[in-house]
Amino acid sequence: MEQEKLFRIPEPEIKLVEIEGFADPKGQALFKRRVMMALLHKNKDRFRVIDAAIDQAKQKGLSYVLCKVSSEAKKFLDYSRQVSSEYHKAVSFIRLKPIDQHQVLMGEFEIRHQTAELIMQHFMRRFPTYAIMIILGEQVYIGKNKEIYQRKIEKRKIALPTVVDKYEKYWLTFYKTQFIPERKNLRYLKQMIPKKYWRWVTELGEFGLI
Amino acid sequence: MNTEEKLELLGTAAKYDICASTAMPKPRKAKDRNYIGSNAPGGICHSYTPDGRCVSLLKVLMTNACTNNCQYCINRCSNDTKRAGFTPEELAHLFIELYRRNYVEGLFLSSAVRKNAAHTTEQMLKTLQILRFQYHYTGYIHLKALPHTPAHMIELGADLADRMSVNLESPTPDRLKKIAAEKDFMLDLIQPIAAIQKQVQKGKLQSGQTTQFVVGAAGETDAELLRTTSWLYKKKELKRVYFSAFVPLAIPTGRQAPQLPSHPATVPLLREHRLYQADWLMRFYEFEVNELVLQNDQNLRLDVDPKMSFALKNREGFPVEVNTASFKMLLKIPGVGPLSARRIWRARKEHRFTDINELKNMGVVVKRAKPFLLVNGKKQGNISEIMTAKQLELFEDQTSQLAYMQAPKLLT
Repeated sequence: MEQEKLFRIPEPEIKLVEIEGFADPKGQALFKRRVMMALLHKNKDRFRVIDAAIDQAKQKGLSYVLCKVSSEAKKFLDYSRQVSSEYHKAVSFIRLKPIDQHQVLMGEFEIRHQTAELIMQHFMRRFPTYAIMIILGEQVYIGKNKEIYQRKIEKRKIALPTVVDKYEKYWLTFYKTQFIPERKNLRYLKQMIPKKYWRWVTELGEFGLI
Repeated sequence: MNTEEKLELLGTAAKYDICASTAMPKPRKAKDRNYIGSNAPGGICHSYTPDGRCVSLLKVLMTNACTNNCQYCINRCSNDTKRAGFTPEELAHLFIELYRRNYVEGLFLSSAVRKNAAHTTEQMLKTLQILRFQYHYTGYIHLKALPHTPAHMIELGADLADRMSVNLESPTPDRLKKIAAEKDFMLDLIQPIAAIQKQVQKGKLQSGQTTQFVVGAAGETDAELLRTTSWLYKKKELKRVYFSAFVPLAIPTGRQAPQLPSHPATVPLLREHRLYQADWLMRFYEFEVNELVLQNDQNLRLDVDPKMSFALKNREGFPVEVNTASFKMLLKIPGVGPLSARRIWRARKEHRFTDINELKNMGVVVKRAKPFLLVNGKKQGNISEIMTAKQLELFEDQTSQLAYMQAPKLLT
């Protein structure tokens, strides 16, 4: 990939400033984390939702918002939770294909919120000696040496490695061994992993579920 | 036998070990940037099987060749099954390749006892050393300590692993004798647990120590299981106790030991579920073991969950005012979990609750909680909305169906 065609991820539009007047430092740190997550939500009304939460925190206290007493606080925390959940699902279900001659680990996923940077950071922390390349929707992200680059792609031009990987076969063999038929419980499975993510958990196909 | 065949055999043999947690409070420090692996404080699940169980660890045995003859175990020496074993190098390489592809979050290494515990543990420790020092792996490892493992090997294991465990299998020495005659409860099991506890106290094994019971194999009661569980949490500082309902079908018909239950229906999964609920009450809801309500046969009720059983048995202590109840009392209300109790407790410092919908927003399961709470002095519902009169009769007749382990403490 040509370096000049890549560009750095822009700085976030909003920088959080210290929120004055809140006595509880632990609560303040938690509130900031929630705001950071809500800022990455896909909905355009996120700024209005965050503003409403901050106003309520100023008037009624941080606990009032963090404990989800009002419907505004609930919406704000739901936004934050949805972003966290997407990040968590992505780092769980992205499968990496090693391209050893280039020390690259490559994967693919679909995201709805702006979680790309968080996902990249997770894998860069985990595999610091590799370049991480992840296709997220119509963007490809490349992370190496603590820097993340992003570029729009045409999916059909990207050739994912097609070599039959023996470890993928080993994984499927191992996965099948872990099922206890006497405990089969598809309702529980759907509860643990919503159906929208099943396409990424390809091994479910081993049991004819996808 | 090739790697795939070994993986199939030794993965199948390890699937009844329950622990799938990969949570580590702090990352393991790497000497330089030439490492592989990291952790998530809350753990990550990479896949699920159709039974809904999480597959997050490469859970395998080092070998399934065993000198023991435990009646409940598929690997017992009298069982006619294929035997195999990984070499340390083979297993370490296989694990790293699966980890690199983000299939697994860590390694769970257990084993049958080949030759003796020291010999097998040595092989397991060698695998861990290859991972830590050759591959510079800094992620999660759960090491199973075998019965009778020497103390110096437990110490070395504690340096290399993040969590260790010994499977108790049965709650008392007598019960253990029924299913594993060669094992000495105190010497082979409690002693290694005490040795691991010492390592935890030294600051090693940041994910702590766990154990597992086989439920229903030795005819043990829930009371026995829960008393031992409570003792393990309090005296041995265990992080977690797992319960695994005995599955007779794991061993082909005809090869099953005659003293074990022969049909799965004899050990309902619901019993395992109720035991977990009781376990959670002790770990997160500040319940004492003697507050759990049992039937005359010393088992938990299967038709009502343990928390609801407690509330119905102690109806005179309810409803409680949500604006003034103690934190411990909030935790006793059905439908109020530790998180919502904490939220209520924190929010009411700056706010007085006047509407039950406020509690709904905070995560309270209002339908279950309504009969047991007052919001700003107002009653919210009746018990008859959630229980039939017939079910309630069981709790009113204090002499027939129900009995406490001891007299219940009065709620304050």
